[in-house]
Amino acid sequence: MAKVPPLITLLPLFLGTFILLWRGTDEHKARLSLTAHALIFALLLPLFPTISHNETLAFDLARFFSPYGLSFKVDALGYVLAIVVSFAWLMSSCYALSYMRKEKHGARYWAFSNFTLAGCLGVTFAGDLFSLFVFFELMSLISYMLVIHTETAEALRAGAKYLYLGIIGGLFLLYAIMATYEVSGTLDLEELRSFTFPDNGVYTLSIFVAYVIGFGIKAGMVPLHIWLPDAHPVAPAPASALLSGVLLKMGAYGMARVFLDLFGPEYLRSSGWSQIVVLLSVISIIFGSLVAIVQDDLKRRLAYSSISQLGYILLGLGLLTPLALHGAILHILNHALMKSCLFLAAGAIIYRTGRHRVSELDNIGRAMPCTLLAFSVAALAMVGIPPLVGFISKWYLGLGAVASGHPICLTFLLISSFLNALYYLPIVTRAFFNRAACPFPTFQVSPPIESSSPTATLPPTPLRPELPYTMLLPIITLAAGVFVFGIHPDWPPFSLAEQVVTRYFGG
Amino acid sequence: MAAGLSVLPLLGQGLRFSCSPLGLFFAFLAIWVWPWATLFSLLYLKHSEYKPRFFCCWVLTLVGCLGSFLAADLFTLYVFFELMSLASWALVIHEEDSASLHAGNTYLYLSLAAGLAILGAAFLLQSSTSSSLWVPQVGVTPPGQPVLTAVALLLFSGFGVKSGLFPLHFWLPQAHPVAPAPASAILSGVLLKVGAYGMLRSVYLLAYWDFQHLPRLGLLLVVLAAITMLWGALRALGQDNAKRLLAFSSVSQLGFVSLAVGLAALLHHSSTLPYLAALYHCLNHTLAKSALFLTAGALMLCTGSLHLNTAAGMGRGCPQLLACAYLGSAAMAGIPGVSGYVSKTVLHHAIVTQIALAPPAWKGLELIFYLAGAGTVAYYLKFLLPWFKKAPRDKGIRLPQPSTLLWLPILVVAAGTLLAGLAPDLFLNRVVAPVILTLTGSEGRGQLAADLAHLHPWSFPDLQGGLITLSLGISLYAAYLYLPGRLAVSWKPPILTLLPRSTSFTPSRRIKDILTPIKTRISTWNPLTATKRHLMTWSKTLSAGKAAFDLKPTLPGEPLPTGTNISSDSLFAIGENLLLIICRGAALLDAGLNRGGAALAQLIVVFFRFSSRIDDTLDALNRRLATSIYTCFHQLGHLEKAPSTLTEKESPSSPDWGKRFLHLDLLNLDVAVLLLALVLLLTLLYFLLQA
Repeated sequence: MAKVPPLITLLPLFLGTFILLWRGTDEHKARLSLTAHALIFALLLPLFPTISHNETLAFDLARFFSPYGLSFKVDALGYVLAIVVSFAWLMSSCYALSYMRKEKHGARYWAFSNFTLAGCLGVTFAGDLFSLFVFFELMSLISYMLVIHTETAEALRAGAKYLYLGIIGGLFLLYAIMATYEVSGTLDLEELRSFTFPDNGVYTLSIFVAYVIGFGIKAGMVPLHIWLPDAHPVAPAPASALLSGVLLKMGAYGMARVFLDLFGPEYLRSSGWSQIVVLLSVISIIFGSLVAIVQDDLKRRLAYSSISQLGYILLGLGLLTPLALHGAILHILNHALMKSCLFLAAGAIIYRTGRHRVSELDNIGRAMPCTLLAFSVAALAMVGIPPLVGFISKWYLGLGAVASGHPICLTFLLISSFLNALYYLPIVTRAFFNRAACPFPTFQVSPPIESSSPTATLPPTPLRPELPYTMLLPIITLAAGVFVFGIHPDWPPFSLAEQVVTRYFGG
Repeated sequence: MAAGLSVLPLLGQGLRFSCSPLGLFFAFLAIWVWPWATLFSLLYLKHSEYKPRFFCCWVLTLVGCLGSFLAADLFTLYVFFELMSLASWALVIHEEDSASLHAGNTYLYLSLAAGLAILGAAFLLQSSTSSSLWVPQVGVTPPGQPVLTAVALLLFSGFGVKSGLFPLHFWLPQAHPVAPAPASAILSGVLLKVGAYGMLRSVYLLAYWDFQHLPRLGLLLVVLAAITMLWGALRALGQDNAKRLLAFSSVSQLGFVSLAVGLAALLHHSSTLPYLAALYHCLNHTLAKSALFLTAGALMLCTGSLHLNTAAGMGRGCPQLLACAYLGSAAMAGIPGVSGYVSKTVLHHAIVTQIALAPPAWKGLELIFYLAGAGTVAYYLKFLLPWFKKAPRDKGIRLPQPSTLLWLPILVVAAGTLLAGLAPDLFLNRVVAPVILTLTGSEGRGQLAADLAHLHPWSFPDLQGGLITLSLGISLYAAYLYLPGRLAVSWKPPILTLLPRSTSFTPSRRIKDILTPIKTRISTWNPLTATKRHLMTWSKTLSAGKAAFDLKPTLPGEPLPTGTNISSDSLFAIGENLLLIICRGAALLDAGLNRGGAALAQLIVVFFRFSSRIDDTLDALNRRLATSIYTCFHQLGHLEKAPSTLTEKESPSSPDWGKRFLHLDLLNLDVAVLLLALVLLLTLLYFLLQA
């Protein structure tokens, strides 16, 4: 049982190498990868009983890489993230099976998708900060290839930004990890839980800030988010679903590890440093929503929404109350469901009709009813309409905000919900209700360019077939997840959130 | 006290419902009106597109309404409130024309904001009392006063939006007229009551928790309600579109309810009359306004227009509809014998009680009450009078199809007002009083009995009050008709801008219009011819109705004037623009951040360039050194000519600085050999000297 985590981390690594070397067709490589991703998800599921009994699976690769080596350790928090990673990857790969047929360099996409998956799984399974760093770097460097996949000038420019900011973040992390080792003498997360920093001087603060910057860049925290709205829209749709649904969470996961394991809630509360993160995340929440309102490009709007939603997660971590942490972990799961669904649906619209601006989406709901219905469900969940998942996490976050003595954060949460409605509902209205229905006439961003879109007027009848079924299936599955887990937020794996909370805050 | 029921393990506590009598009262109102509206909608939407969508949202709205009324805690209330907002939004924009989409957006976003305010209150209650229960529970410590203040403000702003309280009422006259008639009836008759219910419940809860600012809150509510009443009545008088008139009437009438709620907050410990008034007026408004909106829908079906004047001839064509319109208007205006009279009388009693207890300045409230009542009478006169007119000649053919479905549901609903008006004791004692008993608890029992004992709607002073209102209203209407024309000679430009727009017909013709049919009827009355005429009309209407019904109902009469008046609509537009500016500013800031990043990158490149410049300088220095050494050797006669590589000049800022990073090209072999030789020479010399 304990060998499963390293096994499924190494599997995509070898598979990716194999795909690069093998002379098979793209189709075969795609199917092979999809099978492997399904296998990874299937292998992860049997671990659930062990994890839910509060056990930790540990496996040391030190024998192979002495003296420090890579150690794997899976606890509830890591397992939740691993489930998110593998499930989102499965959905995205299923979708990409059809989507990537019309893109060039299919084999390259599948190889690097596999490498990135290995990096992500490694991050979630890492038992010490060194392995975490290794896999984190692997993930953030290799995902560059996913960003620039289309090789347009735009993509290359965005990719350069992504790469350099990723490297800068990595350097900050490296500094922080080395300094942590220097102070504590260990990098093992389990041992670091019992370790507390001796003082809260400038040196320790610099470690904390370096962690926040390092993981914050990956999580798109506001002053460091500048790569995000460029990089997410230019990637192919399955990749942008992964970038937004999964890779952002890795930054949040790292932040959670730093907050909960390394520093510990008591230390952060007494030193007051978590206020930095609370402040930045509140700015992220409002700022991301405000900028999203005036975006006309659909995927760019979703990307800015990601900034705002990651702000929720970071806020939940920074508030350091059990309820807020519960909300944050639920929101990691929820946001993966919602945003993957939204990005896949947006990609499907582009795939089928070639339209990527919000102002061009008139009548699209009549043309692609299933896709847009799923999109609407996810969008309503983003706004926080009960009983969809988005509301559940917002409920816990709001309660946590009040309990932590920051009722002002509650105000910002509510305002942000309203702003979310301002930029999501017009898309739904436009899609289904036939007319240009921006929330307010002044919010009409820019008129659609008639000549550029090949199908200037969409018929009010469904396109047949709407989508290849491999593309439709993930979208529908994710939307169903948004609905089902909204009604039953206590079903596994969502039930693990409570376990994480008890682990860090006690009963 | 309330039977609790919990379903769906949502958030660990589930959706909790309770059968509190207050909620049940409103729920019964809803499920009484709803089926009749559904029956009517079968006819109204016969030719509409997207019928499944309409009926799906119709049922969802009902679910949302009932859930809101029967919710035991604020969290459950929020869940159903949002459901109701979204589903009823789809009803509002059912026609999908630009007016309804615009109105729908205003409605949707304001409803969402209202829902978020309620959610905020739920958060605060949940975290301070560990449950957001909004039925008082024994053993639960009330939250502290600061929390209560925030909760009270949030609750009243949320429910105030829903019930159309003054500064936030502007969505209502936009949204209600554009919806299909059955939906308007429900929106106005039932959905507004969610706001009223919420406010009543909040007052009761806050009083239970001894909220210390309750009197101030009550004062605020009374002031806002007074403005709402007058403003709604004034605007309603200026409307020519039947549904718009009714919508403004809803604003005004919900102002009456809010006034009662405000008085309830002020008089919580001394009288139960405000509760009585609020509940009875809700009952009255639900029945009457639903009937009136449905009547307007029937008008629309028959004539294809919503202009008030098109009702001319309808009274004769379909007397059942006339009865509905008459009953509804009478109930709203407070004619004795119909429910509106009773509710307004009770409200008047409550006002008098407050005046007796409060400083003399409160006497103004009675005046405002009379004025608003008179305004109600005036605009319902305006609504009703065209019904008695004769149909214009050219439109004589478009007479209604007297289908039973057209008038029966409306008549049933409207008959309720008659029942509630003729037997007030039955309703007051059997229906409303038990509800209030659960609100005020055991100590309110004696109070309630005393209040009820003093209440005689048919006593002379009360009838006098009703008559004052009526005569005031008639004179107001007369003034409204006459004054613009009289003043037009000298004061036309300044006055007409102040007064609401006048109608098209003149009063003298109107009186003639009323009198002539009666005269002719009396003079030419003959049973045989009358029967024959009736039969003729019936057959004619049957064929005409069929022809009319094959046409799809066109859109409500004239285009809705939006933003032409200075109202809170323009305030809303200002807010909207402000938000847009903020958004643009944020986008600009984001672009600035991006630019900043780019500038930083540029700076780094410049730094690289600069270091390459330094490199170039070092390079040149080396070169010069080498050249000088070379010339030195050359002049000593060891070398014959300059090496070719040294003569060509390169620009110091050449782009391929990277290539020369290791100074490979500088290692000129000649010079190197020379240097080496020099070094060797020096070493030899050194060793020689040492030896």
